[in-house]
Amino acid sequence: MSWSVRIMWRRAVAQRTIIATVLAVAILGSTLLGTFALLLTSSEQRALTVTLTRSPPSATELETGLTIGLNEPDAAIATAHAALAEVTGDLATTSSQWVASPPYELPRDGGASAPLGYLAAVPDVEALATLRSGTWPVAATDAAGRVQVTVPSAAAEHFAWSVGSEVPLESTATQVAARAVVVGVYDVTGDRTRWARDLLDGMGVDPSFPVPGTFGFILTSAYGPFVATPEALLGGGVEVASATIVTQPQIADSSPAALASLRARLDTAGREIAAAVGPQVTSSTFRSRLAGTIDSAQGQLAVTRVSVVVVGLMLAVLAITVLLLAARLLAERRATEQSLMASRGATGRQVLALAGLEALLVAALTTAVAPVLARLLYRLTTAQGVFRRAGLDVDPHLPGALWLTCAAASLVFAAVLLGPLLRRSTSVVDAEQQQVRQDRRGAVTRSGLDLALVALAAVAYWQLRQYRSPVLAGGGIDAVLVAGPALFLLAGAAVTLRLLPLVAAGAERLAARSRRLVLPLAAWEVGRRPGRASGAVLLLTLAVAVGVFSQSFLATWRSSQIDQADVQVGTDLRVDQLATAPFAQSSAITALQGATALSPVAARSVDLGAAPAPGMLPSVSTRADMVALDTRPGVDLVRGSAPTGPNWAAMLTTVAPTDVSVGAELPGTPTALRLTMTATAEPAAPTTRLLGSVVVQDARGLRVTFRLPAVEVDGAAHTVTVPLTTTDAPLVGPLRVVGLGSQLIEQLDPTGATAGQLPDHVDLGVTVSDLRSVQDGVETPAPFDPAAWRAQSLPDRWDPAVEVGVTSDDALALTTRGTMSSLDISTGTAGFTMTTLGPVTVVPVIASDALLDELGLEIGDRILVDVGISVTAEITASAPYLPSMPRGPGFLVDRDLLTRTLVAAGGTDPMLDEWWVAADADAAPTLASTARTELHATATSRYELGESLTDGPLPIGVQAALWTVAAASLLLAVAGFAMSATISVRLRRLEFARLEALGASRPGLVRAVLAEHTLLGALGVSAGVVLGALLGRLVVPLLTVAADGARPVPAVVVHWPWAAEGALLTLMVTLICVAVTSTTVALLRPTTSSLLRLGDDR
Amino acid sequence: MSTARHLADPQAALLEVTAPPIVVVDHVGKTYGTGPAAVHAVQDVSFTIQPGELIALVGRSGSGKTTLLNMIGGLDRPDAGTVTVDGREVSTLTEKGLVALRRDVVSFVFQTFGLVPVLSATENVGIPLRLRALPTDVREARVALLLELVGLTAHARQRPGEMSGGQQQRVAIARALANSPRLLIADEPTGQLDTETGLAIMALLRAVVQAEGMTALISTHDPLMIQLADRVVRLADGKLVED
Repeated sequence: MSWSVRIMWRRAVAQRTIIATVLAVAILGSTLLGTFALLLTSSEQRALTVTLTRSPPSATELETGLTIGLNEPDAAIATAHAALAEVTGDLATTSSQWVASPPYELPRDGGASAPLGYLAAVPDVEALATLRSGTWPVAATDAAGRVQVTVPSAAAEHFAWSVGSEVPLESTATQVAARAVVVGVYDVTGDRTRWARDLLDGMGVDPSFPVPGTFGFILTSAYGPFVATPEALLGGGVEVASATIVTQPQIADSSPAALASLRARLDTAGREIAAAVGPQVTSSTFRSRLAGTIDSAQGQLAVTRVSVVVVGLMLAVLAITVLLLAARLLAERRATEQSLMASRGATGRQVLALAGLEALLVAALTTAVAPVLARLLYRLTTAQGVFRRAGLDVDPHLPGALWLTCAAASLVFAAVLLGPLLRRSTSVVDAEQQQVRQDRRGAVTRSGLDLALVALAAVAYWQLRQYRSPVLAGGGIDAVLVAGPALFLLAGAAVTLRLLPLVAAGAERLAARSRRLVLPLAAWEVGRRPGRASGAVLLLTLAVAVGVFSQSFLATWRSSQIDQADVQVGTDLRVDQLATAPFAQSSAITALQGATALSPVAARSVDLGAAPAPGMLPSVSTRADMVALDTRPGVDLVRGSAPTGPNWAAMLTTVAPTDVSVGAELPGTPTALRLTMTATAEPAAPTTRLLGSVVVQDARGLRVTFRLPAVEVDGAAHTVTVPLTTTDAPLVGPLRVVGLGSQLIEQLDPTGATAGQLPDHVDLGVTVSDLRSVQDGVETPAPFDPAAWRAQSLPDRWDPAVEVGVTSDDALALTTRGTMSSLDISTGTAGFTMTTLGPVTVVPVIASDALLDELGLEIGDRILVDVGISVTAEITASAPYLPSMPRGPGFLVDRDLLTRTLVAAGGTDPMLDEWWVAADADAAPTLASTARTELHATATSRYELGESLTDGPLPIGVQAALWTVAAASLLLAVAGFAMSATISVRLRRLEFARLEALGASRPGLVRAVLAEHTLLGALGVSAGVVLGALLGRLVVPLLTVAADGARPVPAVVVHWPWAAEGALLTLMVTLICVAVTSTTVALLRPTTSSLLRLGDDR
Repeated sequence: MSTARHLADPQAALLEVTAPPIVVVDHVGKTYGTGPAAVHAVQDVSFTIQPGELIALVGRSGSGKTTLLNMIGGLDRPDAGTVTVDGREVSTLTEKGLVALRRDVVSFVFQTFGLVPVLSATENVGIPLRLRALPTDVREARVALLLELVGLTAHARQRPGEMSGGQQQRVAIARALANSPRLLIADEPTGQLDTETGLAIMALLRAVVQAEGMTALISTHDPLMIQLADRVVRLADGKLVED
C-alpha cells in the first residue's frame, strides 16, 4: 500500500463525518440526475409504447385495399399479407381481411333500374352489428348450395325478406347468376369508423348508388353488405371484387430499434406494397395513420423532453452547488493540513494527487451506488397513482444511460471536489493570515463572474423569447435555449451574493449594540467568514428558487394544458359520429343522464369569401372552420376562458338571436305528421309536379327537413303522411312545423326524357292545409298561427304572396302564390318556402383573428359562407381563438340564425355534425362512456383531454421532473445546510469549547449557530423566492407550450400555488432547522475538557 | 486609587487570611479509558487554596496538570473525590451550575490564548461581559479599562491574527479578568511565548491578581515562573508530590 493510500485511508477514518457527508451529497446529486436520465430514456420509451398501445386501432393499423378485378383473389390477398409483414418486420401482428363481392342485381322493385346488393366477409362482425333475427352464416352454402347471408335490416324490410328467404343474384360484372339464402337480419351498431371499409359505410342502404358501367348517370338503390363467410367468397361460390387487409402491429414491449425501423419502413410502405401486389390486382391502396401517430407521439415527447432537460439542468446546477459547498468546506477543513504538508516538503502535485485519489474514490463509490438508488427512486416515483395510471410503473432496470449519467455526474463532482485545491498553495502563516480578515465579497463577486452570468442569461432569455421554444423542427432540442433557464437561475443566485455583505454589515451593527452574545456570535460568523456563509446562501437561494419555480411551472403548465383542452373541445363533452337520423340522435342524446345543457352543433370546414361589391360576383377565397351552436344567453355550453374574460357569455351575446321563433306545434308525442297539399297552375302545366317539404323542429332546436312525395299540379287535394322517426324512442317534443317548401319540378318519363313542353311562365298556387299530428294511429289537428308565416320565392327574385284562409273543415290553410319561369322550373329551382322563423338577412359571426388576417377583413365587414347555400354573414366581433377552434381561420355563428337562413332559402341541411353537452366533472365520464358504448358515437370530453394532456404517458414526464426537482431542492437544501452546519461547528468546536470555558452555555451556543443559519436562511429564502418568482414570471410562459410544441391557446397565465409553495418552503425551513439543530447539538456534545485537551488538533 | 483597585470586587477586599479556602481538592482522581489501556491522569490528589494566593501547579508534561485544572474549573468531573470552589462542590453541580461557576467565579487563560480569531481584541474581551448581559455602555467602558490595564488600548481593533503571541495572551488575560472572577486558572500561559514575554505575562498576572484580590492557579513547568508564585503544588504521574 503506497503512502498516499495509507494517508488517505487514515485521514478518511479520522475525518469520517465530513467524508461521509461529502459522499452522501455526491450520491444524492448523482441519484437525482440518474433519475432524470431514466425519465429521459426508459420513461420516454415506455410512454411511447403505452401511447401507441392505447391509441385506437384506427391510429395504428396498416390497411391495404385491393381491387381484384378478374384476378385470382387468394394469391393477391396472400401477397398483400406478405407485403404488410415486410413492413411490420419483427413486430408481432394480428391481421384481418374484409372481402367483398361486386354488386349483384337483386330482384326488381319497380324502379327504373334493378336494385343492387353485394356480399362481404366482415371480420369480427359480431362486434360491429347486432342480430335482429336468425344467425350469422356458419357455412359458405346451405345444403341446397345457396350462399348463406345475413342481410341488413334495411334490405330485409325493403324486400320483405326473413330467415329462409332465397335471394336470386346476378353479377353486374359477369352476369353469372347465383343464389343466396337469408340466415339472419342485422342492424349496424358497432364502431362506425370500422364500417368505413364497407362500400356503403355501414348504412345498409344507399338510395342513389351509381349503376356500374353508367359512369354515375343512372342511379339505383344498393343494399349491403350481405354478410357471408370468407369461404363463400374465396371458395368460388361468389365473385370477389375487392379485399381490405388490415394488420395491427403489437407495439407493446417493442424495442426502440424495432419501432424506429417500422417508422422508417412506413415511409415507403405504399410503394413497396403496390409493387408487390401490382401484377395480381387491378389497383391497390395503402393507408395507415401509424406514421403520423408515431410522429405526433414523438413530437409530444420532444416537448416533454425539453421540460425535463430544462429542469434537469437546474437540478444539475443545484447539485453542483451543493458539491461546491462541500468542496469548499472540505478544503477549509484541510487548509491547515495541506499548508502543513506543503511546509513539510510535499509538492503541489503530491497534495493534488492525494486529493485526486480521494475524489476518485468518492466518484467510484457514487457511481456504484447512485444508479441503484436512482432506479429505486424512479420506481418509487412511478408507483404513485398518476404515474401508474399513465402506465409508467415498470422496472427500468439499470440501463447504460443510467450508468453513464451517474458516472459522468460522479466525475464532475470529483472535479468539483478538486477545484478548491487548484488555487495557489500558501504557507501555514499565509493561510492563517488570509483567514484573519476575509474579503466580504466572495470570489464570484470579486471576479465579476456573476455579472458575466447575468449577461449570458440575458442573451439566452432573449433567444428563448425570439425562438419561443427550445424544440427544434424534427423533435430536437436547442442546447443553448434549453440551458437558458439554468443560466438565469445561476446568474440570479450569484447576483444575490452581492447582498450578503450588506446584510452582514447590518447584522454586525445590530450585534454591536446587543448586550448578549448569541446574536452577535451569529452576526460575526456571517460577516467575517463570508466564504462559508456565501456558499450556504447560494445553495438556499438556488434551492428555494428551484422549488418556487417548479411549483409555479407545474401549476401553470397543468392549468395551461387544461385551458388548452377546454378551448380545443369547446364544451364539456362533444358527441359525434352518431349514425342515426337527426331526431333519433336528439332523442338518444337527451336520454343521456347527467347533462345540464346540450345543443346540436354544426362544426365543419366551409368555403367562404369576402362579400362582393354591388354588381360583382362573389369569389371563394379561402376555407375556414365554422362552428354553429346555440349562443343564447343562459345556455351554458361553451367552456374555456375567453380572450376578453373568464367565459364566453359576453362575446356570444354579439351573435345570439334576439327573438324567438315559433311554429305550428304538433300536439302530443307524434311519430308522423299528415297534411294536405293542393297545387294549381295557370296556365295548366301537366308536365310538372310539386315536390313539397316540411321542416320540423324539436325541443333542441334541431330543424329537420322531410321530403314529401311529389304531387300532381292539378288543383286536387293530396294528403300525405310523413314519418318523423323510424325508432321506438320518443322524439324530443314539443315538435313544431316551422317551414314548408314547394318546388315545381319537371316531370320526366321512365327513360329520363322530358314529358312535354313547359309554358314560359306559370302562376303557381300552393295550399297546405289540414296539418295533423299522428301518434299511435290517432290524428290530432295542429293549427297554423296565421300571423307567424311568411314566404320567400326560390330563386329569390320576387315576393310571393302568402294568404291564410280557412278550409272547409275549419283547419287553417296556408296558400302561396307566385309566378315562375320555365327556365327555373326546368333547372329545378322554382318554388316557395314558407316559414315561421324570424327573418335573417345577415348572420352575425365572431371571426378569428387569423380569418381576418387571411381575408384582410375588419369588424363590420361581410363575408359569404357556403353551407350548401350561400349565406351572408357580418363580422360583429373577433377573437384570437374561438371555442373548439384554437388556431387558424374560423368563425362562430349562432346555429338558430344560420338554420333560419337555410330554411328560408330552401336548404335541407339540418346543420348537425355533433352534439355539445354540458356536464360537470363527475357526470361527464359516465356520459362519455355511455355515448361510446350505447350510442357507438365518438365522445370527446374536455376533462379526459385535459387529463391526457397533463397525466397521459407522453406529458407525465413533465410532472415527474417537476416533482422530483421540488423534492430534490428540499433534500439538497437540507443536506447542504446540515453539511454547512456540520462543518461550521466542527471547525469551530474548539472555539465553542473555549467559549464554554468562559461561561457560555451549550444551549446558548446552539442558539448562536441556529441564529447564524437563520440569518443565512432568511437571506437565502427571500432571495430564492424573488428569483423563483422572476423565473416563473419570465421563463414559465416560454416553457409552457402545446403538445405539439406550438404556442398554447389560450395564452399562458402564470399561476402561483401559494399553498404548495408555502408548504414546500415551510417544510424546507423546518427540516433545515431540525437538521442544523440536531447536527449542532450532536457535535457539541463531547466534553469541553477533551476538546480543550486536544488543543489546536482540530 | 489605582485602576486595579478600582476594578476590584468589593467583596474581595473583605477577605481575610482566615477565610475558608476558595478551592478544596479532596482525594480527587480521574481515569481515562478502561482496562489495561486505562490512564490514571490524576490519583488521590488533595490540597486547598486560600483566597488571594497565587499557586503554581508544577509538573512535567502528562503529569495531570491540565486535567486537574479542568476539574477545578468545572470543565471536567472527577471520578473520585470532590472539588469545592467558592463553597460549591463542583462535581455535583448541574450543567447550569457549572455554567454559572465558569461565568461568575472562575476564569481561564489558555496556553494557546483561546481567542476567537475573527473578533477584535475589544470584542474578545467583551465576551464574558456579554455572557452576563451587561449594558452596552458599561461593557464598552470596562473593556476599554481592561485593555488599558494590559497595555493594548492601541490594539483594540486588531484581531488575534494581527497581534503577537504576547499581545494575544494579554488580550486573553484581559478577557479572563473581565468578570472579576474569584479564581483565575491559567494553563501554561507562557507556554507559547519566549522567556522575556513569558516573564512579562507572569508579572502582569501577578500584578492583576494582587490588584484584583483574586486567587490564581497557574500551571507551568518554567522555574522562573515558579519563583513568582506564593506556593507550589507539584504533580508527578497524576499524584501530588509536593505542596
